[in-house]
Amino acid sequence: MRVVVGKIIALVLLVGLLLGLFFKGVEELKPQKNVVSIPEYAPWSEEVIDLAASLPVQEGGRIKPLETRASYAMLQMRGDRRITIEGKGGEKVRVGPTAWMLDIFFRPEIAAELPSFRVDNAEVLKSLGIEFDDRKKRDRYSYAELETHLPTVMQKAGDYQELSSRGADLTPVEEQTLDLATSLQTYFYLTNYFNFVREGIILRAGEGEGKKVSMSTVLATSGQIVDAIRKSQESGGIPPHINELLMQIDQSVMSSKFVFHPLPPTTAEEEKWSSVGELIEATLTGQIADPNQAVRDVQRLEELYDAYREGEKSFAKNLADFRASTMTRAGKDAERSVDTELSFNRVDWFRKALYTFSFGALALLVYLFIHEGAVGKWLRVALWSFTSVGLFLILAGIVHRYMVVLRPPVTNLYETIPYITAGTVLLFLLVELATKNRIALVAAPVVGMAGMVLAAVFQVAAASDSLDPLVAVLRSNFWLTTHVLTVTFGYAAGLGAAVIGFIYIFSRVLGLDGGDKNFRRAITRMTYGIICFTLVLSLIGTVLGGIWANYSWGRFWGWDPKENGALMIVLWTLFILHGRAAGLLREWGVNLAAAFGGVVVTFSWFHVNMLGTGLHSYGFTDGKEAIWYFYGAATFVIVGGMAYSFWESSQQKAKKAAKKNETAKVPANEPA
Amino acid sequence: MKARAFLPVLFFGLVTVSCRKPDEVEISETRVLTTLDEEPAVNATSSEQFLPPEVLSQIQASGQSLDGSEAAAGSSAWIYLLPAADWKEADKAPMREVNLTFGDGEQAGEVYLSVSGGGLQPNVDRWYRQFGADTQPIAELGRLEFLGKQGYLVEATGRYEPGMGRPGKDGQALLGAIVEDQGRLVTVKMIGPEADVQARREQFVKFVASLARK
Amino acid sequence: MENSNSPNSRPKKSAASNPLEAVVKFLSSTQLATFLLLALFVLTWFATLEQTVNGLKPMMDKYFNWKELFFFPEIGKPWQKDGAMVPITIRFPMPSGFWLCVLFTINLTLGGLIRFRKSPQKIGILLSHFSIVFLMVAAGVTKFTEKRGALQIYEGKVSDAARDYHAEVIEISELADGKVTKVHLVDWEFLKDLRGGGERMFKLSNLPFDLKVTNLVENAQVSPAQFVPPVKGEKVIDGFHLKALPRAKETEAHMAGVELSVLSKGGENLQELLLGSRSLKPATVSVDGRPYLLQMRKKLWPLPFKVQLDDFRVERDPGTNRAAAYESDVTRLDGVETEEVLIQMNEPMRRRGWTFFQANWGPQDDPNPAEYYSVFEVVHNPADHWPLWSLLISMAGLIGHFVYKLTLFLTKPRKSAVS
Repeated sequence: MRVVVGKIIALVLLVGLLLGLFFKGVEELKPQKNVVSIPEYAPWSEEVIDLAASLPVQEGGRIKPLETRASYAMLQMRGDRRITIEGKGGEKVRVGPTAWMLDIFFRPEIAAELPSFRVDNAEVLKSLGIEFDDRKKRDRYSYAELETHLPTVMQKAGDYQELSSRGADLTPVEEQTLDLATSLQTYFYLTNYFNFVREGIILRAGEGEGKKVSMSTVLATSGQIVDAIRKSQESGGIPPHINELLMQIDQSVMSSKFVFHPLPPTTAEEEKWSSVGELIEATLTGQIADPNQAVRDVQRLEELYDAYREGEKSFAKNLADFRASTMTRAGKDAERSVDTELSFNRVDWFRKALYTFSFGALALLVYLFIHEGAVGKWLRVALWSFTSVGLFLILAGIVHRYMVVLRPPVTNLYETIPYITAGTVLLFLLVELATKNRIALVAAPVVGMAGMVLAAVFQVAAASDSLDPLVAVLRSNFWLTTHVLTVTFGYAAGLGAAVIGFIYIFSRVLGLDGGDKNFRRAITRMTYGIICFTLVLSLIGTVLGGIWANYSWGRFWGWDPKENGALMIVLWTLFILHGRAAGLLREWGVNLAAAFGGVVVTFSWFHVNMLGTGLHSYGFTDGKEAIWYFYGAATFVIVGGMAYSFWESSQQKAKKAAKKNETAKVPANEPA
Repeated sequence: MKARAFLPVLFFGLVTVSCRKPDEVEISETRVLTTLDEEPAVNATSSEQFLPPEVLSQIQASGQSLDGSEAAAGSSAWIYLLPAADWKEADKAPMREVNLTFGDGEQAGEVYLSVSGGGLQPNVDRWYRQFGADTQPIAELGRLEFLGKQGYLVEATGRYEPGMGRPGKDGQALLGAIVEDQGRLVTVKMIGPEADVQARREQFVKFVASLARK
Repeated sequence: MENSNSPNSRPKKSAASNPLEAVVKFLSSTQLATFLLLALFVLTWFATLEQTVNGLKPMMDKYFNWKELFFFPEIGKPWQKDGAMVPITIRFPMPSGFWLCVLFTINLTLGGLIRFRKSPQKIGILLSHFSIVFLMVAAGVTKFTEKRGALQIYEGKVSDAARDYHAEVIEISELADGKVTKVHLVDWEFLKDLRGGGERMFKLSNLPFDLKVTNLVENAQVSPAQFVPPVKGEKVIDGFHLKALPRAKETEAHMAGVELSVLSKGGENLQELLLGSRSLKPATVSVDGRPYLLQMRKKLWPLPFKVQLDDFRVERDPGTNRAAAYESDVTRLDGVETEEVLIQMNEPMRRRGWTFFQANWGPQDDPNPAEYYSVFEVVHNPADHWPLWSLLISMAGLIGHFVYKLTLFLTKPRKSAVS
């Protein structure tokens, strides 16, 4: 009876966990409420979107396709990568990142209607004095709604920035205001980028109507402008019409200087790509190597805009030409990496892995009821297949990423997630091969799911391009790679041991094992074995880290939080080892301690990045509250397990004492 | 002294400090000389020790002092603005409440402020006499702003004989300002080579206009 | 690892018959090892948390203080989102990390090496134990003999002294003909406990005066009283006073200031002055007609040779202000020998026991400054490479033992567990 109740509880918990994971993992694809209606919205053609998506730009220190740039910009501003609106005739239109960016560049009035900004906390708007009288609760706002409040937002943000730079911590509302200000600023620069084409330059020789000319025309005469300025300075002052010209140029420079760098360098030695504003500025200050090319570049963008005005076909053709000429100048390496990145974006390996593991989890649920006979065998095959395929997909994703940027695969916090997931899943498959007791087999797809969900959630929360190059301190070589790979694999093993430990606790408390001592021993052997493996990896990884630190920073050990985290894993696993050898930890002890090891690994993997000091604070973190839920849940289970184990052993002692009394009551009647 | 040599002292110090936290410690430790000991900045004033260069030059230009670095004979009772970068404060001298120099080398000269008694005309007469020139009546002297009032301007060129046993000098010029204030006569004299004094006429006027009692 | 008998399998004597034996048995027991590992684990956890509240160096000084047996950890309220970290003191006494490590090393040596049952199967474990003992000894040597400082040089300039990151000293320089002839030193050891109040008299042997420190402020700026009026009744000396600055997150940035009296040998107060590590120039005092320079600064580590920065180069990530890589061309002037060396991020220069690491540079805000300066972290540590040897030995031991045990496990015939 107890077994049945236990099994039901276990099932409910498991189903709840799997469903929760799955829906969190596909959150980005959820249908959106409060769909905005923009009847005049005409979607871009597939051809145009594809061409624009593959346009190379430089951002964050590397060359990437416009699609990636737009994707992350949208994530930062909106928290997801699709906008659903109601277009002509009430039809639902999906606006992806590239289309969104095209709207902002070329159709600013329409783009201003799109709900591009996410503000979760209504307090933020209140504190800025922004009120909307729609009674619907919503969290997405358009530029049109926020534009008039731009000065207020920027001013408040400036104050908070000042506070923060002096070391004070900001409240959540203040932080979100800062985020909103950054988003608005980026949007502002994007939407005004092509002003230089739309407005051109108005030349006025004297009084009266001026003549409108294109920026490139003006730029072509930059030499003469510079001369005129110098001459007039000598003779005591710049004439007003030249002043006005300069002011117009300056305004254009300021609106197209940032956020979009589509123009490759003019010489082979330079690495920096330019924005239109930077080119104009460099030409007028005489700092540019090839002024003719600069003029030509500005002209190309003007032609692109004019082509858009002419119509879809013309725009598509011009885009294709623009892209081709940019690629040629960018070079073979850039072309290859942009193409590889585009294909990486398309394939979306990690989402595919999530779905595969989810099927594995389905198979697992069925397997819990039917694990004997032919059906059982086929389900095991299914489990093996789904898990292996899922693992392969993760590894393929990691390799594909490597091919895009050609640097070792695990260099920021995001990248540790797929790697650790793959590590734990692989470890479980190997353990299953060695022990054949199905525990690891059923745990593997769940771990795979959890890992892929974490990756998806983290990417949205961090909203920063995880392929961008590293901080200088991480630029190395053999030591970095070995250290990071070893320590991270150690985390994977520690988490694996924790999972098995938790399985032990649940199966004991819920009575799932039916009192089978062999089963319990088998689990414990697995836990213990994986703990030993964790120790080996963590100790080697920690000391490797020390050696690398000695070469880079001059000290072997600096009590940096991340270093401490790795040391804590080493000490904890040593504690388990020696506790067992000393007889202080037995079955329950080893499993409970392994489960707690999961908390230690989580602290070392994630929490140390949130502590904000030390050389390791380069990991990005948001959604920090989630970690406390995890700690809470884990501690609850572990403490519950401890309490149960004490209760159970006291029960057994009572039983034994009762038995002893019974036998004692039947004395010498028994034959000796 | 090698690093190892101070270990006994350090240990002694450590033991004493850790055991008793003493009120008195004997210090005999030294260190080797380094490149940082080359070109020592001796006799730095408090302002020079503690204020960054930009702040320091601003304060010097405004003629204020935050420390007692002018306090040779009591603190100065005057505030003023130095009108040019090469005007410097010199040591106090008897009869000179403010004593400045300008320029350097052959083109150097001096500017000083005195407070004295006597009448306007006798002082003006003496100044002209020192330059071997004829005196002028007060009413015909030039005017300039001095302590918020109209002061008189004296100009002379020639050989300057300061008198009182000091040697004379050729080719000098004088710009002098004199005004009655609080029952006394306040005077500012600028004396130096003729060309330089005349080139610095505007500086002199500015300086005099900026003078005020503390 | 799986099935170890108690490592000390001697016939059990009653404890009373030989108290020394009992002590040694306890000190070499696996139970003690387990407890020590747990204690070190907790210590590391608290160290990580306290570091964010009090700073790294203060935490290290508190946790590894060999003069104290216990301390009370302070951790921050990690859930507090606004305002500074509010420390909570844990009222449970933690044993000092230094003594835990000493006890751990003794336990490991006695129980893990000497009284450990030796057999070919246990070689891996023995190697690992030995490597850790070696590591602890390396740590001890580092703690007591390491010299570490920062050497900042502008392009074209020469230097032969690094500045310690934390310790600050008062220097008294004797002058002759405007040149420094001798420098006396009041070490940080005698000053550091004066933070937060206290006075101390320093009798300077070999000098015709004594010094009395009447106030030491941990992080101070000597400010002009006219523009920055004293708020807490600080003493104003010559128009200036010691203004206390707020705590910095990294305590290396702290620069102390002192109120000092120069006394004659008879105890008469000759002069009062203020010294601070932030001061730009030293103070000069005149005693018996001779001038002396007084200054406070971060303790200097004189190097056995001069270093000249010939050129500094920094490469930024295109389009950003982030440094991608940076390196320095230096010339080492060692008496008559000169050598040109390139020092880069992971390629330090080693000479005469000193190692120079490229640590930092500046000015970082200016994209095109007239002159760069390069900052090297300079370390002298005899135990510099010992952790590397320790690693190799422990790796050999651990991997060997793990592979041995895994092979045993995989090749052992056993019944499969019920699913």
